[in-house]
Amino acid sequence: MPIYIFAGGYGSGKSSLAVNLALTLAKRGEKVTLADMDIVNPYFRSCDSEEILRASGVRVLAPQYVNTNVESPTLGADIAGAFASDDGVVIADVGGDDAGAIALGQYSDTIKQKGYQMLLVVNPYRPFADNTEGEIGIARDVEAASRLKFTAIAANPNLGSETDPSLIEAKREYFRELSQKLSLPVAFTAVKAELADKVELEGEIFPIEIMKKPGWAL
Amino acid sequence: MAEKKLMKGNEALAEAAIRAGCRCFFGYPITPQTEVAAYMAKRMPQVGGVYLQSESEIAAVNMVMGASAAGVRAMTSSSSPGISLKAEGISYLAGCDLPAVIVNMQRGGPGLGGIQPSQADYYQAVKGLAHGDFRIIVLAPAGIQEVVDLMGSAFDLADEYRMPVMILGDGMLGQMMEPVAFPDSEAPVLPEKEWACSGTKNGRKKNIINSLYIQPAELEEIVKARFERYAEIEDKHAMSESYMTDDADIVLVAYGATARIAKNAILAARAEGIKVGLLRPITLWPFPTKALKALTSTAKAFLTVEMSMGQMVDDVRLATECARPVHFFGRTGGVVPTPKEILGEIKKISGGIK
Repeated sequence: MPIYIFAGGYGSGKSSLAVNLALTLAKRGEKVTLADMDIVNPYFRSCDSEEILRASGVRVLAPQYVNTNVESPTLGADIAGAFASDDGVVIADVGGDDAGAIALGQYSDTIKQKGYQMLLVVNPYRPFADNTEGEIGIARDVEAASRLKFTAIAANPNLGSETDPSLIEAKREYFRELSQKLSLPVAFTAVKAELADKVELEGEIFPIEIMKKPGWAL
Repeated sequence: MAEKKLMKGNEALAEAAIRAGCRCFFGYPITPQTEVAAYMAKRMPQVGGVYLQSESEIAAVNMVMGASAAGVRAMTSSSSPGISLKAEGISYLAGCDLPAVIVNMQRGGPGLGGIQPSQADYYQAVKGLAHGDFRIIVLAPAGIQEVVDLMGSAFDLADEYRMPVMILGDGMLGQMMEPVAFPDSEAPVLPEKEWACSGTKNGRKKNIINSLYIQPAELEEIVKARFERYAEIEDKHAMSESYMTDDADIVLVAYGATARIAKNAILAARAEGIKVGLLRPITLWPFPTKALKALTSTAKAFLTVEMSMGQMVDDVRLATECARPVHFFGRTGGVVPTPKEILGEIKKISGGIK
């Protein structure tokens, strides 16, 4: 029954968190469907991790024709079916900003009927999210486009390979302020697994594995 | 230094351009560079600049010409097929002696090709972007911080020599995210552009921007004067990075994102006792000929690695004057070479020179 939606700013880490949550829930024995609904960016997306997801028993739904020669950003009926179904958990990975969230809007009636958690994924080290006013603007635009309301914040403060505990802890006040201004709780702070027990934060820490684009050995 | 940000190459490039004083951006979406336009659309209004999505790539480059003629720092960006469409406009910019910055985040070709990273537009950028006797400066950053660091130079060189400058990247550089720092610098003081068509205000003779010269002798004179400037650029502005070349028997030559993959292969080769280094051109025109030529006294062989069927390799052969064998390894069509594949090529050469 539960629907978890990851939405928010472009490049904030939605796919990473969606894939990690799918794997975590699948390990706990839950029946999980991951809906890759990103019709904005053809380069990095949750269905790039399809192999590991499928091996863990996660059902992966992706836009039709994705990673083929047909450039047609359309979502199939199977995604609508997943939202309407009562069979297991659905995790929706939505494209960035309001442009990406438009694709979610068409399912908003079904999603509202079913009940949902919509997580605002926030990385304050990303441009336009570096102050809470900027992030609030992104959140409002995504809500308007998706016709759904955020229910919590998923904190994802990171600087890629240079992330260390102090960088994560430095954003404590940012998230306190954002939480207060949006009247939304912080559901968890995502921290890459090897740093998870080195970070001192109040609230829950969600240890994540970083998904890399296959073949980009830089 | 302000706090670092996590940015895509395309976003960092756009922000760096704005910080370098770019106030007009004209573009048309194409993967994998669309984030440049998307970022400009958000940021330009905040700095009082102009972002305009044109009706085509051809329109965009001609808008750049207009803005540049009026004395504004202007930029356009695209990916491979879009650059082909801009070619005529770039020739006109060169013929009018107009500064401009043009970004190519290359994708697989020819034709519509693909959307994954490629370096198959080297010939186009360096040898013959369009008709006529002209050059453009071509800068090839290998990381997102370098994109930021080179953007100021791109606009400065364009203004100083009154010519188009290209940032030649690839889909990988445009799409990947890295931490990046923007220096806390004041807004640049732009040079006075006495030639610009910015209104005489009844106070001076009118300026004319033109590339049409019907008299052959006059056109020859103008082209020759331009080539004197090109000679100065070749003399003063060639840039490259040397990495572990001092004792290297084999010197890899690679630019852009490929150079970073080559570095991984070099570390793997050194772990196996093979002395390998890298010469990374940062400017593709002017090509770092002197730096490469100097290495022929210590290196026994060169290996050029590209995401193409082999284009820059010609310039490596010319620069080294065939004093040493120049080998080539490439992947194309959007396939990214792996360090393992490059290591395999290094071993083949290493077996031959022992």
